[in-house]
Amino acid sequence: MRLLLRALAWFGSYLVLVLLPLATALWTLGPSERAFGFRLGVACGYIALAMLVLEFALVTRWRAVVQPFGIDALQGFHRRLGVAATGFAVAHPLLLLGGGMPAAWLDPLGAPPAMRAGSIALLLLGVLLLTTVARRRLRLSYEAWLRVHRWTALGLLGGALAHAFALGDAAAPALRVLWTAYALLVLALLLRHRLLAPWRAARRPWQVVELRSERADTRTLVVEPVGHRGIDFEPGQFAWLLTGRSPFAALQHPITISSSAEQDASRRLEFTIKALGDWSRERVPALLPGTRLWIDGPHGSFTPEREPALGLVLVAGGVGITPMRAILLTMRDRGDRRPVLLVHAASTFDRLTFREELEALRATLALTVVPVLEQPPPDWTGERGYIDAALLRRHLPPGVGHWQCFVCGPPAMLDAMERLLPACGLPADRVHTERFAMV
Amino acid sequence: MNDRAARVVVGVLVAMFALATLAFALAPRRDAAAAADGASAWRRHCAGCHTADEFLPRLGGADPVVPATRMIEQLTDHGDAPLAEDLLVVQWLVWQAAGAPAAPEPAPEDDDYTL
Repeated sequence: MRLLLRALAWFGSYLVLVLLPLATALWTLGPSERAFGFRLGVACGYIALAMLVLEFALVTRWRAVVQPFGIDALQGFHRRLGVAATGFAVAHPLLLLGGGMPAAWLDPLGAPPAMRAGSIALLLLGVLLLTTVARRRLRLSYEAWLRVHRWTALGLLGGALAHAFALGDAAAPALRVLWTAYALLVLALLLRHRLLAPWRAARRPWQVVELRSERADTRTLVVEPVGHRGIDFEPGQFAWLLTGRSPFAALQHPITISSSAEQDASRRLEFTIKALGDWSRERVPALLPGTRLWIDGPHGSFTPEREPALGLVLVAGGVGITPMRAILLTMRDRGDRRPVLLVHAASTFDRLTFREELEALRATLALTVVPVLEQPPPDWTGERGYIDAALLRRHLPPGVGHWQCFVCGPPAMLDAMERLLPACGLPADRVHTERFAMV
Repeated sequence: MNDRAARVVVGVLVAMFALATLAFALAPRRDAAAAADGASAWRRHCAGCHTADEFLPRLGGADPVVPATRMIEQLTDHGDAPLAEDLLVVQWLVWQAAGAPAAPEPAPEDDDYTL
């Protein structure tokens, strides 16, 4: 209940912060004599700018904001609200053009300075949108895309704020004060993310102990804290791994912690990483024992620790098995004998990561493992194809409505499970997913 | 939070923002206050050298948008008033040309001279 109230409070705060400039303009300036379309265009501009400022807040990883929603939900908001903000930003000049604004004012080279800043901001918004939507078609690596995304976001926000300031009415200092406050908010968030967080991480380094090959092009990275006691985490959570020369210049990737949350004296953590992109294919194999790295975490609400449950249903696709491994190892170490059903989907038998370890866990847990193979061997007698409603109904136990379910895997599988599991008796609010394939 | 719930939250927010923009655009006009702002800007930047009658004939007629736009373009290269003030001045002149009840052109300050 407390988390729900906090979520509602943040929702309300977001609403107020987006609407505040519009309300301030209406109150202090009063409505203009201009055509309806023109006034609508002005309003779209106020909304767009406030939303773009708050886009920074949505990806800040500030724990107080993240906890009620989950970090993947916030990233989803960032993406969807970014699209909405783009819509308002594009409507702004189009409506003003229709209301009599000269088209020459859209020319980034020839327009008056106040308009020029706005036109440049609009151009940068277009670049940001294009590189995000067409990243793979443009063959941009994730790291290159992230760099472009950050710099264009900063540039467009600077241009948009300069545009608002230059047009700020001398009779409405309240608006200038407000835009100044918003600019300072962006600056504070940037300083926190780019300076404060890396500085904190630099004081708590980690080093690689082992890099172990697993099935299905995955590797398990074992790290231990250097000079500090490490972190406490809940099974199913993830952390950002910062690799590179220093945490200020590091590449950051969110990886699930795949070891038990009941840690031994060494406080070592394990991260299981699938070879998917440039970082995981080229940088991870170079993380030899002794290599220093940094950790920002833990993060995430994908954990059974927060909700009561008589049993657990774990549905994993491919490398989605990693949070399930952490959950099961933690249950083993705590002597937790609640029943668990693990449905583990993979393309082939050899790509069932942690297959032997999961089988061994059946001796110490009340665990049922159901492997599902897309391309089974000829003598396979188990489940085959994809996880569908019929398969779920065959294996979900009676009374599953009082269980909690955790699903981790490709986006298509998450969509399907969010649809199928409630139809099979698991209430939707007991089905938990975590999505990271944003770009 | 599952994906469907997240989509609902975003949809609700965007709908509220769209309604807010409509409310802003439809808000009843406060003629006197807006006219006073325009008159004040005229007095600050133009009244020293010009009278409104020089410009009103250009801005009369059924559709003042085009001549008003041209005037704004000219004003951006004329004088040192910021763009926001230029817009207020032209807006006030359009009003005057339309004959709407508005604050009259303020008289230039009397020179303090003795006969």
